[in-house]
Amino acid sequence: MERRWRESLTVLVAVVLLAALAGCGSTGGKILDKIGLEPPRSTQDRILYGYSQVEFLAGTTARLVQEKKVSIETAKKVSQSLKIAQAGLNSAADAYFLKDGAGVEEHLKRFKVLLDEINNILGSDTTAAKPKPATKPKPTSHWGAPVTG
Amino acid sequence: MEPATAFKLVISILSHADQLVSAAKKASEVISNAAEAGREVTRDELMQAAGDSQTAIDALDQAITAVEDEQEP
Repeated sequence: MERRWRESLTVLVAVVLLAALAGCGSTGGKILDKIGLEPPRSTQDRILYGYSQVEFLAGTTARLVQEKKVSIETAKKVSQSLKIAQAGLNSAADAYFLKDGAGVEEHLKRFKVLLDEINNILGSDTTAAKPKPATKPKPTSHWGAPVTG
Repeated sequence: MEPATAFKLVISILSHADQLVSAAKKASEVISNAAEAGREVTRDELMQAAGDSQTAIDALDQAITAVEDEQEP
């Protein structure tokens, strides 16, 4: 009973953190304050949290791959998108420190879009549910050409 | 996507909440330390975070390669 309660609490905290990290509103931020995690405020903070989101998604996807809960194709797409997201954050950091902040917001907006895309890629993977059925071979004529009509 | 599949995947991701908390806490600590010292997060600190996330991406690629090698006959 206690174990189930603890698991539920862990899931709840994770959902709140996910929402807060994704910048989904002030409620998440207030809860983060209460449990000792500060919400991002300045531009550098937002870039820093961006890197932590990339780290989390890469780490989680790696574990899901090892546990065979996502397909290799999905993991490759996620990896590709994470590399683009990482490059975007690097550009945002460079823009902030080297170019007086010019273009930072655009980089961070694109980063947010990429994160949504990565979540969609992971969410659309069906590997966890069932193995892919074997594809039925198409009927062919005796010399191997596909039968039409 | 079937609801059961989506549910399983969400649970799989949430079961790694320790990783999420760890990444978020690390970022939060850097921000807190900077605030306590009366300064903002420095470029070096951001570069350190960039290095950590790059390492995680590299580890993901290695995991993909390992599973691919495993699947080869």
